[in-house]
Amino acid sequence: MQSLKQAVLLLQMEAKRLINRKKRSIPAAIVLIMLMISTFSYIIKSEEKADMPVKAYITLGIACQDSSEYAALLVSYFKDNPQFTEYVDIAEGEEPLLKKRFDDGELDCLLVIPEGFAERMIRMDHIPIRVWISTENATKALLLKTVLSSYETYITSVEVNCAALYDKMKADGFSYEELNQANIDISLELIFTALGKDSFFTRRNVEAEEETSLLTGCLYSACFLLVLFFCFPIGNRFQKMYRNGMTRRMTAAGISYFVLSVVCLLPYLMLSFLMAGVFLLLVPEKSLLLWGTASLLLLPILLLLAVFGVACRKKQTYLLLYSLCFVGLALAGGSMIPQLYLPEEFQMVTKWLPNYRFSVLLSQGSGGTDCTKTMLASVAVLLLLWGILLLLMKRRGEAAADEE
Amino acid sequence: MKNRICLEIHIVLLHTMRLLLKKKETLFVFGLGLFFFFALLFTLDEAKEEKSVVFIGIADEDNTELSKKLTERISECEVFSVTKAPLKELLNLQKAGSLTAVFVIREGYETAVNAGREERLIAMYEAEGKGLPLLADIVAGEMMQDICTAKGFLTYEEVMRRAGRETELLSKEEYAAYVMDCLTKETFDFSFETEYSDRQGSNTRAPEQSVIYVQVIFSVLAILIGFLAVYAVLPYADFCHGRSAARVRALPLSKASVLVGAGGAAFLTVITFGTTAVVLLSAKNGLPVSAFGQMFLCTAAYSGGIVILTMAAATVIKSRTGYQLFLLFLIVVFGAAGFLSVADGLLVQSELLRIVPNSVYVKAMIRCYIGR
Repeated sequence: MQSLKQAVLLLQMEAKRLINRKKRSIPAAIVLIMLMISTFSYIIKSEEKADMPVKAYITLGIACQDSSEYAALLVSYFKDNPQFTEYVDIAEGEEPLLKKRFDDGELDCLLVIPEGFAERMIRMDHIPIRVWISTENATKALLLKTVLSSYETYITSVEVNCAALYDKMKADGFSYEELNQANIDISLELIFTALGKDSFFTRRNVEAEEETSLLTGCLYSACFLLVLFFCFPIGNRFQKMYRNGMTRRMTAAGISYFVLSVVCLLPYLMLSFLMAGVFLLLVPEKSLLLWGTASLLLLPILLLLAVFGVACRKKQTYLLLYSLCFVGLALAGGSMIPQLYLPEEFQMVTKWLPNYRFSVLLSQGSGGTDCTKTMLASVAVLLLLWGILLLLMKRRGEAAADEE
Repeated sequence: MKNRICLEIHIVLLHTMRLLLKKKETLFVFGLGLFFFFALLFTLDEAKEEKSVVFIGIADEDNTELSKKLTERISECEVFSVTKAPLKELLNLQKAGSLTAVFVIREGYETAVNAGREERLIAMYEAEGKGLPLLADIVAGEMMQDICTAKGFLTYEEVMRRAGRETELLSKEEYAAYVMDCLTKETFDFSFETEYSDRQGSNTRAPEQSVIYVQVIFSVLAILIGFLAVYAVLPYADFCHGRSAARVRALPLSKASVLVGAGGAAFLTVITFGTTAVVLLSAKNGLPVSAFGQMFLCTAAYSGGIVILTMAAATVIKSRTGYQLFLLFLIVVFGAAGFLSVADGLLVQSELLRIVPNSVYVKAMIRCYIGR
């Protein structure tokens, strides 16, 4: 009962101290949070605008120098195909004009179909289509390169199978008429198969609101870092406690290290619970289970900062460790670079990092992740870190007593 | 007067360099940064063969020889990074934003292809309005050979039956082998004559699969340079706010000399780190000297910019902790913006992200890497 009273008293003191000393920090924190939220919504809005990535995703110029009917058919196949125009803006025109537009950065890709292309293609004596691809955006360029390569595969597949049937039938001694008829049949069949490639697929839309983009995942992970940013003073608080002799006085008054650590940590624990609640406003699922799991994921990192605070005697060393922890989590936890873009070795580490787990939890909701497992793991790490913290506090207290 | 200024700058520069070399923190950040970059460079180099820019999932529900071959071929496409797993797992990944599209090779795929049916062989899951239908074209390209061979065989079978020569009929496998033989013996030379250009009138190399990893490497390098700059500018912050040693404070140094001297020392530290990283990268990838030279210039310009920005922050923010925390926050925000803006279109399209120094640096470095 006595220690409970002491703890309540200490908590009151701590709250007063925080309010009095951090007067200037509170408006700064509010401004920072508002800035972050407005940046998030700006980015998400721009992402939504770009949702039809594609409406403006690729701009393609076609200069058709072949006046034949077949070439016109080929161009109109692409131009009038809604599946294709959904993601590619096509501009037709003369080569010099389109080349100038390409050089000016208006087109991502330029195709020039040479004169006699279709006629020569029928005779399997190809004149290559000239293509310019802009490498201004390496990702788009790589995508275009692969798409062109698959178009080459379409044509080669059609040609080789027509030629193989023709050769086989010729070797088997079929007459010229039979050969010719079979060739026409198979050519038409395969050309229509290639042109109707969209029918290979059944498109199933995943509900847009159910899907989270990689960017949103990054933002959730960044939310976690925001809590870490605000909780920087934890370690400082522990350092100050030792510097101004508060620990010594408190322990002499019979207050245990456990109560002392709880008193120092509690305001930050409450802050992280509160912030976890704010972040839940960003996600569609707003359940108690999700809030509890998210909050529990935040706690171990706060304890780690406390451990750093007690372990480091100098403020600069604590700051260095804190900075490394912050940048390390940001780099490896998917806050800066989405996890899938990292090499396998890093991904193994990433899966265990709290900010990554936090972003997965918010992205997939309580249905997508095993909340009980996450909660148990968080509690286990929490207890371990708390044990280490108490041990370090005791050792440092003993060391201080020895020095005296 | 001129000599005096030079002498002052010289004194501040030497003093700051000595301080930086003595400080364990700077040396630690320098060493750790290099070690991290080195480790990343090697792990990414191994991974770049397996990974690429578009993340897709494949669920093989047919599990036959043909479907396995198709999965294998799609996995080999240089634009894809493929995750193979059951559909439920893949949909969860897609929901979390980890996959752009999920392809399901439906049960009965092999039977349908062999029977000459090509409709609805694959189910493609994509987010409404967010999908990249170009991906379907690439997958269709990988299916074409099997579909065409099956159709060719059916026509051949039909012709042989009509001619009453069933006994001479080749088996499906023999026919497929015959087609493959034709493909190797004869020339089927349809191809696009492709030129790659950086829009400044210069031709470039074809983009490689590894391009995304190069982006990751440059993004990380930009972050590490920024992080080191924070520590390299600390002596300047101390000069500014009167925290340097008393004997230094007693010297009648002009503000300009402190600015140039301490800034120069910080720049030298950061550029040494940047140059070492660029040398490692160039040596590892066997880049030509010209590419190294361009990358060095870009790194020097970026380092200069970051040092100036850090010095501005150090001048304005009086508290040492406040200065370091503010810049830490800025580095993380810039770092994220730097990567997200280069993975253009696939992740985010925002003009705001493109003007961040890290984005400009990563873009310029990629241009040097791809080569003019």
